[in-house]
Amino acid sequence: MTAFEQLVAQGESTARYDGAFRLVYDELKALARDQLQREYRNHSLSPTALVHEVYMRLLGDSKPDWNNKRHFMRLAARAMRRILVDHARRAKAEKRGGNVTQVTFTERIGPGHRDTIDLVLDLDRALASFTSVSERAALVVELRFFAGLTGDEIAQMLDVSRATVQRDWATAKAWLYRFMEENPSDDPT
Amino acid sequence: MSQPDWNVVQALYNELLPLPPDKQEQVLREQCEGDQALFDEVWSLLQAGKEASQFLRQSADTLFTQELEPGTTIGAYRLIRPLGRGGSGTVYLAWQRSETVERLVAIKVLRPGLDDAATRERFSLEQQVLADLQHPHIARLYDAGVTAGGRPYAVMEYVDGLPLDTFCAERTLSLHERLSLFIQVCDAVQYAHSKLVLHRDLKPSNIFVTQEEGGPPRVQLLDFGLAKLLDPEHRADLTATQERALTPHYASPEQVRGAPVSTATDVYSLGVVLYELLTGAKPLDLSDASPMSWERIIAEENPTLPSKKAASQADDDTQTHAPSALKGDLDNIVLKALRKEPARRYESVRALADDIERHLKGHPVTAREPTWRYRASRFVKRHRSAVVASIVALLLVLGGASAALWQASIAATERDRAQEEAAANQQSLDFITGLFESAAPNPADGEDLTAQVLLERSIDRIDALESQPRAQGRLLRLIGDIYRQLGDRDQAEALLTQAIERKQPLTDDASRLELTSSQMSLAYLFIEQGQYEKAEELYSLALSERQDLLPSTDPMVGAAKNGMATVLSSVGRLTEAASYGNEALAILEAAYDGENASVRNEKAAALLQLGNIYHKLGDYDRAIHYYQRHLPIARLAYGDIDIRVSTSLNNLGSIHSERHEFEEAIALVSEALDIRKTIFGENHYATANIMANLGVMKYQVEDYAGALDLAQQSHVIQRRVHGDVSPWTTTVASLIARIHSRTGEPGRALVLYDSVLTHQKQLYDNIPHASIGQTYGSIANILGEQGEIERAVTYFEKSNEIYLHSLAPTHRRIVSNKIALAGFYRDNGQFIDAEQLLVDLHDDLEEGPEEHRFSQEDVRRHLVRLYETMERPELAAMYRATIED
Repeated sequence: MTAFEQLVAQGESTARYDGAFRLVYDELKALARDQLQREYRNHSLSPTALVHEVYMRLLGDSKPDWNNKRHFMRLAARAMRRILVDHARRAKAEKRGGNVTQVTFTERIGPGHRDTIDLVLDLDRALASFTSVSERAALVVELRFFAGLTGDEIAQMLDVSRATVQRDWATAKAWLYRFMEENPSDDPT
Repeated sequence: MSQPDWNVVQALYNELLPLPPDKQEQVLREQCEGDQALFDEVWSLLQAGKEASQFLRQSADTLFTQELEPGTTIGAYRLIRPLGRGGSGTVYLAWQRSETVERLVAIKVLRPGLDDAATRERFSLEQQVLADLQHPHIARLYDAGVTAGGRPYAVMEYVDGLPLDTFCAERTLSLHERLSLFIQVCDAVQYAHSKLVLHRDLKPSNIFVTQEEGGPPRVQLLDFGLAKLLDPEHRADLTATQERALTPHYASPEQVRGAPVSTATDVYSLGVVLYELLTGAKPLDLSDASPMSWERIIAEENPTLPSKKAASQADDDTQTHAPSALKGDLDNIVLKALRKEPARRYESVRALADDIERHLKGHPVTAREPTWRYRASRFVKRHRSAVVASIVALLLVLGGASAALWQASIAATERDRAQEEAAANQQSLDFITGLFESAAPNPADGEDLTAQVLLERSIDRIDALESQPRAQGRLLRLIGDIYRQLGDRDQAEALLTQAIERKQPLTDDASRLELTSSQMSLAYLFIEQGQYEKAEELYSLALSERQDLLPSTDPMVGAAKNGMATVLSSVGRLTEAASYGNEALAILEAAYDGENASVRNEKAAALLQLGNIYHKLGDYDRAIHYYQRHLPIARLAYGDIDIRVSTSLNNLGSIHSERHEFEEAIALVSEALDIRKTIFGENHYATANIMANLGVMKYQVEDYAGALDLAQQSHVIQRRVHGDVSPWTTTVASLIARIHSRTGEPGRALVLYDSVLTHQKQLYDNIPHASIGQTYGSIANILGEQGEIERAVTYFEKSNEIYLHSLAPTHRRIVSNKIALAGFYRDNGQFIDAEQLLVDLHDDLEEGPEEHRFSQEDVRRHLVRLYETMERPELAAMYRATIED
């Protein structure tokens, strides 16, 4: 049994959850730090790949039961969200420090978003509000956007139909987009 | 008013989504039945949803690999579609439209997040460099600039072809065709090298092949993205930028280490490309490895022979040539390009291409070099005169006349006679092996191969001596010893074991004495391999036999006692070792008449050994005494360029280092290292040991880059020579772990320490060896720094427990452990534990040699800090006052 599985086996009390989250978060962060900072840029792993790498490390070949995998993916999506938000904050702070020209390409990836840094920060805020509207739909977004899971994987994880996930996703997207439009970031780059 | 029910909102939204807009509003009105809040909610979501079609289309991966949409224009270029993604950006196919030219081009745009000043600097450098490169096999650079958004881009010739590996596979090219293409690649790289440009990122996806109808295939090299000027003016940049933008599969050991690169780096990458062309597989398997272990694998693991690899893939589709076609020349060519040490690869890309051409024409290639022959040739090169002399001696021994002499001497039965002869044999052997060990380097070049062939031939001749077991045994030992010094352990062990087997049945005194010599040689080999039990058994057999046959004052008895001292010292039984060492020295000093060279050498060995033992016991004054006595004798006996001289210098340096006199230490050990390099070259295990020591000292003066470089060089050699389970390898691995823990990579350090611990336990087989104590201590330190005080305490206790088997309670290492432990107690708020530990330690250090003062100072400093933390200024002041002087 791996350390992660032990934590999961001991139940999902808040303390245990925190412990497992910490474990996943630390692993992800250590990996992400390497990726985001310096080494092996040509082989930089995407967040999705990072999540899988950490999954292999923590659960390894132990053929974990589905419950553990489900649990892990939720933690990983949450952890990756936090890591990316932290990274975006730092990147923004550096930008604010000057000497970097802003990116002004015509891509339109979000309301008024010129780059993914703003998008990640705003999305994080929007998701925080959206959770109180629909916890499940917010989770769908988190799993899909931050952990890179497919619709089928999410459906399996949440034990709902593929169509339900699709509906959650479509509505959540519209809701989040509207939220961002109505609540533009107070710190435009 | 409350929020509309989400389930209702969602159901409506999804129901309306597929409808046309005008229909949406109508249906929504009907469904809401006058509930305006619900209508507004769903309606605004539908509006937002329309705009949000691109929103969250990709996962967060986009943060890392943001791409530009087709149709985006950059200056005069309109993007058509992405062609490929690299580490630093994406390459797009684009249409260039200006007044003078309309054409397809490839545009490389750096990805966001990389647009820092250093990258842009590199980018503009790339532009200048590339503009100078005009070669039929290199894609041209047309233009470069910075987008409106600040992202640097380069516009290059668009090559409508296939990557080299795909091309070869799709066209099922023959071996000959592949090699011809590869030579084109070499031509292009060689051209760039002549312009002082390195590619640094050669791989099949950067090497395109185009072929026009009916024409020959043509190679085009893409993306000099990492090229930097070799020009000396830019050298500083080249080494200062430790950025490692590269693809691990094709990266050379020096690149993954972050060491300076050279043309040899491109030779290595070309070797990987060639390997893949020939076998369809990569030389090293990185697929299952984590990024953390890439560096180790690339720096240390040796590729499988291409012919073997091809054979192992015989069932595979990728396999294209008979493995036998690769055997010999091509195996050797590829491996020479893939050598770990840049200096051992082809000296240029041209030389690599030439060798392939020679192979294609059926001429002999330059890359043939079986391992032992290589080692021998290096050795022989530096020991020309010595080798020639020993070959002459061997030939004399092997010649008919001497065989007859031996037969005569076997007939002689008088004990004195036999003894005399044994002594004479001993001397001639010492003469020959001594020459091997210590001859001054001779720069002249000559008939290396002849010398090696003679050595090989002498083994053949030994078989002819079947009827003379005594002569045969003696020669086996002689040649076994030579092989041991050449570093060919397996051959040495086989020969020395045979030597013992031949002599075992012989009962005359001379043969019994000669047997003890073989036992001592084999024992020494075992010590080198860390097989101490076997070594001890052989040394004690040799000692009791010699004590039986010779007077107790005989120098050969002294030599055997010296052997015992060596092995006991190696397993940490230092007190016993010291008494054997002192007995040996007494015998040898009494026996030395100022002339007998072998007694003098043995005496020198005893002095060195005693220095070593007291060094380990922490009695530095005695250790220095013996080392300093050893140095002049050693210089007299063997000259300045000698291993033993370098050992003494190295060990003296180590003591200075333990006394924190690092400048002297580094000077002494650097001299030692130079000696080793002169004698053995860069890649010998004897050089590797001193490299490691110098590494330790650089580590102590916080030159971590220098330390890591030396340690890793040393580690590669140690693993190659000794494997993982060896005292040398584990020690160097520990050093690398220490450097990692110091440079902010405690995770890597712990992983490495963990494997060191496993190997050490195997190695010492439950003997409480001080090295294990050290590993426990190091792990404890990292755990402590990570706040895991409880585990740290356990490890410190294990560490000290083991140390106490062989070290004095006031030894620096135990003191360091306790001081570190006290620090963690303090940080953890366990002030009483910390205080007790430090105060006891302070008392223990009251007596004893100079080193204790130094340790005590340290303890006081920690007491001051502790009391300050405890807010007991009066106690802090008390200890501070004792530090001032």
